[in-house]
This record gives sequence, C-alpha cells and structure tokens, in this order.
Amino acid sequence: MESGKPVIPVGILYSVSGEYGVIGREMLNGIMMSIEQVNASPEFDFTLAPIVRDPGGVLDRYHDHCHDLLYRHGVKHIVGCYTSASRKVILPLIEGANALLWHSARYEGFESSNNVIYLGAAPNQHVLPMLAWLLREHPGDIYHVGSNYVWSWEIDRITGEALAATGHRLTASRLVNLGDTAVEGIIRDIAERRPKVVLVTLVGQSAYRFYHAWREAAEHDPYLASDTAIKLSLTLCEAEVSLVGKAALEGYLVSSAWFQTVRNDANDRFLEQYRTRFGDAGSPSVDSVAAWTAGQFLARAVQRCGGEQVEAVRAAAWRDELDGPAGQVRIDPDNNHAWLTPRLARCHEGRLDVFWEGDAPIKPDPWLTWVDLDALGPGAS
Amino acid sequence: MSRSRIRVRGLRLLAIACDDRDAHHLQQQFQRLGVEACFLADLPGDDAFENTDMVLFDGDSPVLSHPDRELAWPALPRIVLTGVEAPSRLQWIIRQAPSAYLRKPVRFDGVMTALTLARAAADQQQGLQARIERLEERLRIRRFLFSAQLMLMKEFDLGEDDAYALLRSLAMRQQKTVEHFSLDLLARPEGYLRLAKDLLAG
Repeated sequence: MESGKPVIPVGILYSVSGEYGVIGREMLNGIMMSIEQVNASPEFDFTLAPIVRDPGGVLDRYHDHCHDLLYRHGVKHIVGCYTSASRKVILPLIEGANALLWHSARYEGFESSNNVIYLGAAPNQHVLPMLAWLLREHPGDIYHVGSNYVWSWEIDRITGEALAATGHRLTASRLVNLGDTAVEGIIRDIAERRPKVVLVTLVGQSAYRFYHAWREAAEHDPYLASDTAIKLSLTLCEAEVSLVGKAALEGYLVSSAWFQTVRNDANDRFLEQYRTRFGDAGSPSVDSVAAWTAGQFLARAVQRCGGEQVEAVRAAAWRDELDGPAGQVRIDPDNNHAWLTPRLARCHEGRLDVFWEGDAPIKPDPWLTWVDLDALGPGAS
Repeated sequence: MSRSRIRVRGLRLLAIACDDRDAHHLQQQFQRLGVEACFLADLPGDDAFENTDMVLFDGDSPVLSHPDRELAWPALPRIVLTGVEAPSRLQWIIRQAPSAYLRKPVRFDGVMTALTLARAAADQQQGLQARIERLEERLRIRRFLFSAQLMLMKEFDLGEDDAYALLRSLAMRQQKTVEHFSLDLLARPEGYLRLAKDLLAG
C-alpha cells in the first residue's frame, strides 16, 4: 500500500452467483463501498484488505471458503452470509478460530454467538412491528404462503400465536419447497378463498414465480386484480423489485429496517455514493446498508482499540453508535445484535415508499424473551 | 431395566437425512464405537427397520419436516440432530418424540452420550409403558373384583375385609392376581364357592 498504513485482511463471504445472487451482489457492493471509504479516509490508521469469496449459495463452499479465509489468509474478521443455513455451517469454524462474523442479513432469531455481530433485524424489529400494525389497522385472519425452511416456519409460528390472542387465525400455511416454482395451485386456492390478508414469506425463485403467477391469474380474476387483499412481505427489497418488475409487486406492504426512501442526510449521501460507485444498475437493499454498516463498525472499532483482536474489537463496537442511512444504530452488548428502527413501506410504481416508522431504534430481542406475542393486538401496551 | 454396562458395540442404527459433513463425522465415530450404521436420504418404509435398534435423523431437514407430512416412526429409540433453536423447530422436534439429541454440526464428542442416553430413555419409556398397560388392565377389571367381593359377602355373610381376605387366599391358591381370579369366580362361581366354603370351614 502506498499509504504505508498497516493492512488488515477482511474475509468477504457473499454469494453473488446461485439462487440468491441478486441479493448477494448488493451486499457485496455495500461492504466494498464501505471498505473503499475507510481506506480513502485519513481518519483511519490502517487499511482494510478485502479477500472476496463467492460460495455460490452452496453450503459446502461456505465451509471451505471460510476455512480458507481463517487458516490460509489468517483473517480475524469475516463479513458475510445471507441464509441461516450458511451461517450455521460456518459458525463452528468461526467460533473455533475465535474470529468474528459480521452478519448483515435479517433472520429468524434464536441465536446469539459471542463470535457474531448481528447487524440484520431480529424478529422483534421487523416481524412484530408489521404484525402489530396489521392487527391494529386490519384485524382479521391471515393466509400464509412461504418456503419450506426455518424462516417461514418461524414466521408462521409467530403469526399464529399473535393472531390467536385476537380471536383470529391463520387460515392456511402453504409451504413450498425451496426453489419449487409450482405455485399455481396456491394462487387458485387464494382466488377461491379470498382472504383479506396474504402473508408471503416465499424466497428466491418460488417468490418471483408467485408474484408473476398472481399477476397472470389476476387478468381473469377481479379479486386478485383488486386491492381488496392486503399482501405482506417480510423479505422484498429494491433489488428484487427491479428483478421481478414493478407491475407484479404493486401494492405489496413490506417490513424492513431500511428502504431507499428513508429520509435523512446520511441516507441521501449513501444513495448518492452508491449510485456514483455502482451506476444505475445497482439498487441497494437493506442488506447492502447492513453490509456497509458492518464495514463502518468494524473499521471504527479497530481504530478505537488499535488492533484487530476479536475481544477488543467487539468491546469497542459495543461502545460505538453510528448515525447511518438507517438512522442511529448501535450494538447491544447483551446479545451482539443491532438496535434498529422498524419501518413499513408500500410498493408503488416500483418504489418502496415508507409509510410508517418507529420513533426510535428498538432493542434487539433475538430470543423473543421480553415480548408477549398475545399482547401485540389492539389495546395492548 | 437398567443396563449395568455402558457399551454400544453391535448397535444397528439407521441415520436419516443427515448432511454430508455430519454423516462423515458420525460414520467415523460409529466405526470407533462398533456401531453398524446405514445412512439414508429419507425415512424408509417399515421393512427397513427390521434389523435396526436405533434411528437418528436431522431435525432441520426440510425433506422430513414438510408440514403436509406426518412421519411414521418405528418403535425404536430416536436421536435427533438439532441446529436451529427457533420454537417452531422445537415444536416439530417434540412431535417426533426423540429419546436423545445431538447438536449440529456433529463433532466426535457427544455421540457416545447420545447413543447411551437414547437407549436408556427408550428402555425406561418401554418399562413405564408396560407398567401403565398392566395397571390399566387391572383398573379395567377392578369392577369385577368388587362384584366378586360382593358375591362372597352375600354368600357367606362376611364383612368387606373378610370377603376381600377370602378372595385373596382363593386367588393365591390359583396363582392369579385378585383381579383375574375375580373374573374366573364370576364366570364359574359353583366350584370356587365350594372351595371357599371348605377354606372357611378348614
């Protein structure tokens, strides 16, 4: 490095190819932009050297790349993962090497490792705010369609328990296997039963096919074509809206800790920098912001403690607070998850427009220890 | 029902829906412990369990745990491999009634403990089940005991306690439980009442 500053290697483990490569690309963009900004800044006495690996969405490759990063390249910090399955695969390696994983994706919770900093939303920061809003504004039964894996299983449970206390229920829990695109039967069932609320937790190709199949079926079905049904998503992001096309997603309500339409100076700067760096083809998502935030927290913590040693970096990160694109973010020392502000947006003309946001960041509760699901409904405090 | 020796050599096990890395580590450890294991991608039909002593399965497997699917487990000890701790997953695992668990990813330690505890828990469960069946059977025929007791009270003008004592000595002579003897007495009273009369006279 011409700067003469010490170099700290950072492993980057995002799948930019494979089933969820579209989201992986935006996460990679987020962390790369963050690292470039750190390296260009005179505020830091070191530079970060990213070592980028693409596991292609294959679990075994996460394991092999992670092993390689830890033991061949000697990294102490890895930014990466999207699915819980991939995180669970590398977690023993990370813990065994006493490294630190900076995990940017929101997930279903029920995990807190001392060797992970969780920057994505825990269920109490994005699932529960959406349910609370729904129970308040549109109380009623819910039709759930999701993918057959832990994320949807857990959302199904949380939703069912929250609904039970209000006298309503899940009228269906239709789960399709990951990657399966045979969703027409479910669309027919929805058209027949005409639920008031449809909750979609499908991911990847199943989700994309579902959105299109709904739109195709809507050409012959006034109910599907109307905005009678409230359609909810907990995963939809801007990059996917570009991929799927705005027509199929019009009207969807989405819960997330960040949208492009969040209004604050840091976000305006972030969007401008992202556009400058990656062009109009890139469309940052909440995951891009979380990956960017991970880079900032990591660099600031290294700067504060004067090294890359895991215990010191983690402790320094706990003492930090970042005023970023998603508002104020800090890391909770109790469980290593981020304090985040919940937001709800409506998909309109291909934009995810924020129509509700929390007053302040919410303390992460990954084990849902401190919340009563049956007190989410109206009248509850 | 306790086994004084802790040894798993010769145990025949079917491992179902494990991922490759877990299967590899399990296989290595099984070999050291003398466990004969067969690895399958999905739950097989009943016949496959004929020469099997124990089952092990991945509790996070989407193959096994599709909501439209009810798994028909054989009456064998079951070990579940657990990774995800979300309540929805734990609810599903409870429904499979495992005898023991092993955390994923599988390492070398803990396999012996899981095998041993699974077998002990299944033995204990089996013992309890057999005892419950015996007690339920006794409960079912208990009302016949009262009828038999009443018969003796009337026939020989006895009080409750004396009638029960007589019933018990008659049952002992026939080497039966009081309940089962009561059934016989009610079915064929003549002979047994003569015997009772002799006993009382004797």
